[in-house]
Amino acid sequence: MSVSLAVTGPYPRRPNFAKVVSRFLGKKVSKQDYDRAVAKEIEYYITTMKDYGLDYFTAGLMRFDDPVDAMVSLLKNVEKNGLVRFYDNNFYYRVPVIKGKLEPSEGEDYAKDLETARNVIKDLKLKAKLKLTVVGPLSFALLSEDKHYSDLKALMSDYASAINSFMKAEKNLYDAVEVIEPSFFQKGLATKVVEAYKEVYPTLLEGINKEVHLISYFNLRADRLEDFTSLKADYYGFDLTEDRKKLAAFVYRAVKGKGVYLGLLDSRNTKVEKLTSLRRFVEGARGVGAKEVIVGNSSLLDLIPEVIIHRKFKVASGLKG
Amino acid sequence: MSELPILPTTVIGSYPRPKWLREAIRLHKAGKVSDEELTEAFDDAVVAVMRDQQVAGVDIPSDGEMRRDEMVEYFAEKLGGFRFYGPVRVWGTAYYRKPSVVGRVEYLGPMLLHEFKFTQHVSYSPVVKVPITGPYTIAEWSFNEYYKTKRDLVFDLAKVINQELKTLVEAGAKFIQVDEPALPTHEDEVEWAIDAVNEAVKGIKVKVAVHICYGDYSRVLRYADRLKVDQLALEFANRNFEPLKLFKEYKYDLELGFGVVDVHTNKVEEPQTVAKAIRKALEIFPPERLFINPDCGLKLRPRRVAFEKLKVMVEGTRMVREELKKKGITTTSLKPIINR
Repeated sequence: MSVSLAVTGPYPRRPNFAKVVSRFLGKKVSKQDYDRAVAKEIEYYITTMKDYGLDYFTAGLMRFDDPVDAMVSLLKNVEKNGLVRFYDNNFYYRVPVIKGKLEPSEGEDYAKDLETARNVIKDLKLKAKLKLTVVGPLSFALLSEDKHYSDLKALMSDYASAINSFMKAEKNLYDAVEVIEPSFFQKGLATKVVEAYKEVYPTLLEGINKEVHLISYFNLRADRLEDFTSLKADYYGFDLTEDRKKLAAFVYRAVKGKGVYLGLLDSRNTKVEKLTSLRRFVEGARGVGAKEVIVGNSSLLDLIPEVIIHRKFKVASGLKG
Repeated sequence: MSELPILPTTVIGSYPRPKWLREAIRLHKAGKVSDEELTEAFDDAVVAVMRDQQVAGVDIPSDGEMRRDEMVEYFAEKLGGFRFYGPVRVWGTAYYRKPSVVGRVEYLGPMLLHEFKFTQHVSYSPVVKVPITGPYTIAEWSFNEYYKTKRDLVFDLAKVINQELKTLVEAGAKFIQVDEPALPTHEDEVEWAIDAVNEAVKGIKVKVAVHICYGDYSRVLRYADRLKVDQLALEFANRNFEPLKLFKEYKYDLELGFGVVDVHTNKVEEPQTVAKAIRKALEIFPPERLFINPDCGLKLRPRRVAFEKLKVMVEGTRMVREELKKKGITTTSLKPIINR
């Protein structure tokens, strides 16, 4: 059994590109030039990260302010409102305000970026797979302001259908789907919400015959692990950066016979992990019979400087040697 | 001067940098403006910002934090133990150089002394507010590579902040504001974070406020009796003053710095709206315990908007002052209400 390396979620927007974003928003750059700048950023990200032997890339989501924003681009009847803290990070996202029934929009910008990423991977003759990143229905619902539904399950369900439409329409552009669910292990999540989510989740992936990575960020609750791994996925992802020995013990119990994504590269600290430590956790997962192991970043790469991302993945690339 | 007009108006700290200062900073980075010329530009900007506040009628001004690019970065640059790896995005297209703690935090010398002395020198008011980022927020908004626990880092930072505050008080500072926007971030850390703030202000015998914004105040208010500061300066306008009701639920008998204008929108409030909000706050707080300020620093607004917001804040306050005058309430005190 080999170890794979992956990026999850967005790749940081570089400040120079951010200036282009600002100019585009200020209508000082045409859409055509902006699209070209986005494509250049995607190319830069994949080209510079390829040296670490990544097996999975995402499209980087640089066009979007945050993963939630990327999802808003795929939906109708949603408006963006004020800035709100993204979980407990000093990072803020624009709250989607749901003003009507969630329906799919064309999502052509996201599709364009997937196509760019796919072409870059192909041109560089990489064997890596491209993951389509989507925010899970639970996290999207909890991160939104609902002015239309009064029922969380109905909101999640319509969201899942709308995103599923995009996934189906653009199925030729990606190899795998990563569903990020930072809210799944948050404190105070009611059991009835989890149960509702379990019923909605299959809608998201209905008819999608691709590899699925279900990835949580930031927290881990032992009492919800069974619920998490009961959802259909090929890989289950965990943030193993805080109190990692204790958390790994829980995770090991839950991933026997399953694929696991170990978020061991801390996206919230600049301290670079040691290869010996990464190896130990990979061996731990193998030891309990995890079917396959992927190692990658624990949450949004936006939360650390780019230079540190490279240092971390360089160390992690040693796992493949 | 220990007497202030009732409902003293003040600022949280930051104010938009004049366009010409931003240009001078850019040219300095490009090597086209000398250090001396940049210092002169900073000084001139403080004079200009002070004048804006004077015209707006603010009772307790600040220097607008003209010399500070960012509230954590500025202090991390002046303390030992920090390192910068590069910018990190905070939202959209906004970045800051989030520092990393790579060694024991050390006090290398005064950080705000020059800033304070110059501000005092050019101020139209005998009292200026000196904002300083608090230990918990510096730690929370930095990466910790060195300390075993965040708590250890925060308490070491509290010691150096305390040293800085003592220096400022010795130089004549009369009103200190410890900025702790991150304080309510982690519910399970608030209790000891408050102890760290208390450590930072230990022995400081002038007025001390703590500024918090955009968080769940109830997490702090449940430990209000532990807080050894005179005032909480908080954001309210952004939330339509909803958090006021929390002050009925929790036992809180300190002062309130009441945020009456929203700093996240260019829409300028009406003086009547400000006055109405103050009246609402007066249902809970005695007038002597109420200071009036914007929600947060105004640096992200266009200068014209920032100025208008200050003017409206003052006009709304004056309306309520007239009403209090009829009841014979005209002044309050700058004296600290807590013995530290």
